[in-house]
Amino acid sequence: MQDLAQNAVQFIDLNWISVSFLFIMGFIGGLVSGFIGSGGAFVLTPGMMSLGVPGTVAVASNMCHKFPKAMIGAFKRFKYGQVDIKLGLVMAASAGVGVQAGIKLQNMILNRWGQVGSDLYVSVSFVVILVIVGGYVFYDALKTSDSSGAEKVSLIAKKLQSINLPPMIHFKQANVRISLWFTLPVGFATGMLAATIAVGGFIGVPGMIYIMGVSSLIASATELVIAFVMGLGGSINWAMHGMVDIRLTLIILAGSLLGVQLGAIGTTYVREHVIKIVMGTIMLIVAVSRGLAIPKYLNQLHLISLSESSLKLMGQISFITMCIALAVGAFIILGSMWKARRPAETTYALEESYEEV
Amino acid sequence: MQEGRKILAVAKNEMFSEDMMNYSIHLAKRLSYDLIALNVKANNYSRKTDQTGEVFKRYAAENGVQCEYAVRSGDIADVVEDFHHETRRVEFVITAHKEEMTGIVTIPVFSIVSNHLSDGRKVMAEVQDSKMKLAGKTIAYGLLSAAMYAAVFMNAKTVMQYFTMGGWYAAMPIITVFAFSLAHGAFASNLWSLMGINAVKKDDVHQTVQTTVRPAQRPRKRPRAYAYINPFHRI
Repeated sequence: MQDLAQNAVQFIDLNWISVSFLFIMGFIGGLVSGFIGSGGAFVLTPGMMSLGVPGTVAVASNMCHKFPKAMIGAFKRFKYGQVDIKLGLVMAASAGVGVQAGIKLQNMILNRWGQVGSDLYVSVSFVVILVIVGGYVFYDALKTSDSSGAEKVSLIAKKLQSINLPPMIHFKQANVRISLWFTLPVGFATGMLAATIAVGGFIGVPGMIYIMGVSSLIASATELVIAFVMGLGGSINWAMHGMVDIRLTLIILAGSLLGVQLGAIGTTYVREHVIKIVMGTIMLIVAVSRGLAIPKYLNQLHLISLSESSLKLMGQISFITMCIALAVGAFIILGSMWKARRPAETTYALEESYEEV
Repeated sequence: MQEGRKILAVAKNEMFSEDMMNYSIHLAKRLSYDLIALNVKANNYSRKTDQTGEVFKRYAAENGVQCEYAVRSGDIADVVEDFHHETRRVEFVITAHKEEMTGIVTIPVFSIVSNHLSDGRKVMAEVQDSKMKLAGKTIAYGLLSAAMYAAVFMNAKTVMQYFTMGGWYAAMPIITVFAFSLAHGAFASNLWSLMGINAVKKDDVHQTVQTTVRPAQRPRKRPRAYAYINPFHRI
């Protein structure tokens, strides 16, 4: 098995262009995930593959950079009092089961419909989930930014919290008391999505916010704990198959450790709905990007017929769109940090003078 | 546009104590006043005084207070009196040398006596020191992680051979990334603090949220008494 892996896998040669590409991608991905709890992986994996890295190595190396990054980010945000460790561990445990189920499902589809069917399933679930969840997150963010700016606990979360179904768990930091039975599906779905599209946070964070009633600040920080636990497990698994290209991992890590801390600091500068705006925006743009990949699979299944060149073009646009998603997210984060820096001081002074009068 | 009202913080030979600096900056912030830090040098005193002003200004800027720094030489009371005549809207003086000013300075003088050693330079030294320490740490961790990167990439071939063997060798990449994330993570953390990018305190964040929803700003001036017209006067 190990020898087989060794022979089959080609590790690429690195040059300056690929090194700087990985470093910058790592930095931006780190920035975004430090801020919203996840993200970056969806660009890094295809990014590495476009450099000629085989798919499995790309996934493995990416995952191996994800857990130390999440660890540093979680630690930083823990210091700001944003992490609910208990919630993170409960979620991670059920997410672990979700990952296994996701892999099983993936294999089932692979056996029945082959590689193309599996790819199509991944892309379609990407688009459907991201459009629905991302759209809602974005809508909600706009709504809160229009009104007072204060976050309200969603109606579903209030309802679920009021149901007294033992065992009830009290999450101290998140200040939420909810039945274990309602946290399990959220964690399970997170794991399942992580196994399918590699970014569990896109369902984990909104799930914690809207279903469990956790604030977006704490949900995004706690997601880093989940990412750490799951990333560590996944990395050990990949490393045992000898798939981790430590050079790639370390280069991405060099950028992402800088980014993740900046993103974590950024959360203390901005109002909470900015987290939702960034998350919703990224999810919607990524949905467009994945949507552009669907015709290729449909073509392979002979459901539609498109020329080779137009498919290639769509593939390229899809990848560029994905990079744009990340860049837009980073832009909003840095922009709102920059904006928040000054007014925070002046309005603060104003308020105090107002009280003195 | 009217000039802002000012607080004058005065010290001799750049001996601004930490208490005085904190008090005057926070008072200025609460009152929305501007601040002038005045350093009065004795005639026979000669030492470069550029650091103090910088530190004072930086502290003030962090609190959103307008601050100027001025250096004069001569007798402290005369200097303050002259200064307040030539600068408009100085409302009062904060200093540790009230006694010397009594009878000469014609605006209110408040005295602040530090319970620390009144050696202001110690404060400045501390501020400088912590910055130096931070820089030192950043460089140390930076060198450490650079060395670690160099070690891996110079021996890339051997490293790759062992790290991809699978099985128990899986521990190697995992431990490696942990080690790198600790060294490089500490470097990154220090680097951002060194660049002045630090987390805002949670309380401040909440206060910001509140202020943005406040409807209107009150004028800065205190309300003044107005003439009262008796509506029954004509009867």
